[in-house]
Amino acid sequence: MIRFDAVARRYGPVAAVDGVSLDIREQELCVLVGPSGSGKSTLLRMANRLVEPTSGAISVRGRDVRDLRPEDLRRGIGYVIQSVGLFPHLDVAANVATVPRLLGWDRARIEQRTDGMLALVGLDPGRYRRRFPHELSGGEAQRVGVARALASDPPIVLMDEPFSAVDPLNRLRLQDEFLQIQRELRKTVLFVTHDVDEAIRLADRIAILRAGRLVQYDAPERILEAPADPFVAAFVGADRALKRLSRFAVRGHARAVEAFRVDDEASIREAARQRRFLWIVDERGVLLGSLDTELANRCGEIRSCVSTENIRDMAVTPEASLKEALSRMLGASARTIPVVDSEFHLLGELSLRDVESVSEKPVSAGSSAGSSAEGGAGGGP
Amino acid sequence: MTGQREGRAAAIDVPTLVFAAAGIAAAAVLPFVRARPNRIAEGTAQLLLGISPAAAACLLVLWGAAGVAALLARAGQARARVVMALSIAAPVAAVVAAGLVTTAAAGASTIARASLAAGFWTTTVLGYASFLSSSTRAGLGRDLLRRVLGFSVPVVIGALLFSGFLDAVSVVREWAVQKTVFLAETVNHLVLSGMAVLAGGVVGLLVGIVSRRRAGFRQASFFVLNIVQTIPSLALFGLLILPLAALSRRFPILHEWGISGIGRAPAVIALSFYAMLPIARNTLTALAGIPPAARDAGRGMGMTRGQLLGRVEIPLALPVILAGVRTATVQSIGNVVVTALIGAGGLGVFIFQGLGQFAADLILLGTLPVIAMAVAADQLLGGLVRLVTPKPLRGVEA
Repeated sequence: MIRFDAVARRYGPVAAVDGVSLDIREQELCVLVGPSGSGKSTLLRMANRLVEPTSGAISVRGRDVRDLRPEDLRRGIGYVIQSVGLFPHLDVAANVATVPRLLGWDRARIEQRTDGMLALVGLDPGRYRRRFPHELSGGEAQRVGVARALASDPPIVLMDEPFSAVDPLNRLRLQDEFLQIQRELRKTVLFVTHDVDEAIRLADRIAILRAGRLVQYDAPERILEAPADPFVAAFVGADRALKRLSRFAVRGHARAVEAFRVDDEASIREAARQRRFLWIVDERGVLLGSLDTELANRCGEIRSCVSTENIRDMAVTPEASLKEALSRMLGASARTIPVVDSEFHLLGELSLRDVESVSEKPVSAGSSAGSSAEGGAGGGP
Repeated sequence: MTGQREGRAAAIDVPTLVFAAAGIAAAAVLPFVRARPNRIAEGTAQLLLGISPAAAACLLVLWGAAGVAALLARAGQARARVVMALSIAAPVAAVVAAGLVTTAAAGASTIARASLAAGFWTTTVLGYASFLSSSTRAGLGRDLLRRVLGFSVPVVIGALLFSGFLDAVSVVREWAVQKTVFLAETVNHLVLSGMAVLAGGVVGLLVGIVSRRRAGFRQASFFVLNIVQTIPSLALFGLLILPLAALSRRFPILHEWGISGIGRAPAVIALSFYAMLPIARNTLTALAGIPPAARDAGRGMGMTRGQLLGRVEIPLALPVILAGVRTATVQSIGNVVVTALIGAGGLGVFIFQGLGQFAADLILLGTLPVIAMAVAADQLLGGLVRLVTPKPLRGVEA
């Protein structure tokens, strides 16, 4: 979809980008990551000809970018930047409508599209349409920036550190929301960040740049599992095994387990002969806690022996990451934790062994895209 | 207890007290009118108290009331409104008094003159100063009352002039004599300043736009414009005489167009140079102040250079550019006065005639309309600046 072929950009004797070849597949979210000065922004800005390469070729959707007028090329590519760059004299609706207006859409279509885009990024059109940029918070402004980039429904979106200027909590929310939008719209996204965690959270594939050169280009799981060199290893951090776990969801690694109703004493006594611990649910199937069957034998009423103490801190949802699951295990000093749905019905259980098996099992390049689609935290309705 | 006393002390409106005291002093001791047997004679100065005790009393009561309000009334917008009305009433009363006493002083004689003296002018200036001061301090800068009252003095003067009530005032007599020439020179004055601002504005705008992109050009052009600004206008006219005269001799077509060493051509050329600096500087400042992110986003979304300029840069820069035009216009209206010396005409004609003949009335006849034009242009362009400022960018205005 976007193809860089031996692309270089020199400023005098300095090469900002030095012979990078990179192929971004259709509908993939590719994150360019690297320390400052690694040339990631320059590379991104060459995709829509804001920067012209000194040598090499770039093609977008199979066409050499030099064959298109820069303006026409750019109108077909969404563009989001760190400082948002909303036009201060125009209201939110007019800002979002920028590219549709350049493309000469009719008024009714623009209006409908603008409202649709605002709703998509979680801003109520009725409340936000007529606001001006200075009346927005940083997070709201960046949402408008994303809406503006997507307004003409371009197949490709370039995002240059879009969430870096937002506070950490809002950044996480924006990342989650953006992942949801991306799951729905499946754009081809080239995303620049200096934040490795952000790259791991969002990327289908990560391209690591250093001093203008591409060091490694692979699925996040693969990069975390097998860094190409000491630089990449240091860059992704010593906790890369943990970070890798954040790419896997509990769903797919949890195992089914039988739930025992607290009033079904016969079944519990029966099961107690085979298993030390049982998950106990109430009459409506809501998880109450765990039962140590050795204690249960000396117990009068089962209900009074169920350990309910930190069950809320232990339980994970199927959408949660294995990293979160591991953290909950450590927090509760439990080797096995329950998996529940949003109503706290028991769905299964996850053991430390299950988590370990993921760390041991190498991920093949082919399967990484699939696992990344279900990976990451959040998950939408 | 102390706090309460401090509260009351702070509530006294000191500036208004000062204006009121000065107003009372001006009405009581400064001569209001000067009766002269003819237009160049020295004449005798007369106090308002001496010729029209009623009018004098009226002024004293107005200022006294403003002083009392400043001293005793509760602080707030209500008091400010009262002070504003009393302050502006003083110039209005002075104008009416001027009509009354000059008619009496000049009598039926056609060569005798009654000109307004320090008392009248001081009262007018103090009245406006007090009015603006109290309205601004009370946060009534955009208040309807301020607009209505602010225009009341020119409206009263216009109405009285039209009715003939002020015919005996020496400046008006001078005007009656020079009526045709006055009208022609007023139009001439407006045309000259208009042409200067137009030419200087177009060039200044281009200089500003190009300067933002090219540092070398910026250095050079602003160096020249700053130097030009320091050359006295008369000297600049003089410097233009020789080259223009030579050009006009060399190319007869220029001569046919009316371009020569003296007259309108050097006047407009010199004045447009003066107008260029504020407009070029404001254009540069305005364009440099546009958020770089907005420009980058616009370009990245596929705006052409022209679309970026037309949809983003100019709308954001226009208020500041127009503020430069405002400065240049007011400055040009004043500068055109000097062009009378090189035969370009304008209201300066009366001023220099007056200087030559030692006729103060003639000087006033040239000066008062220049002031009126400058103030009107300032107000008009100020309104225009507000009009073109995008709503979210409106802040404090001068």
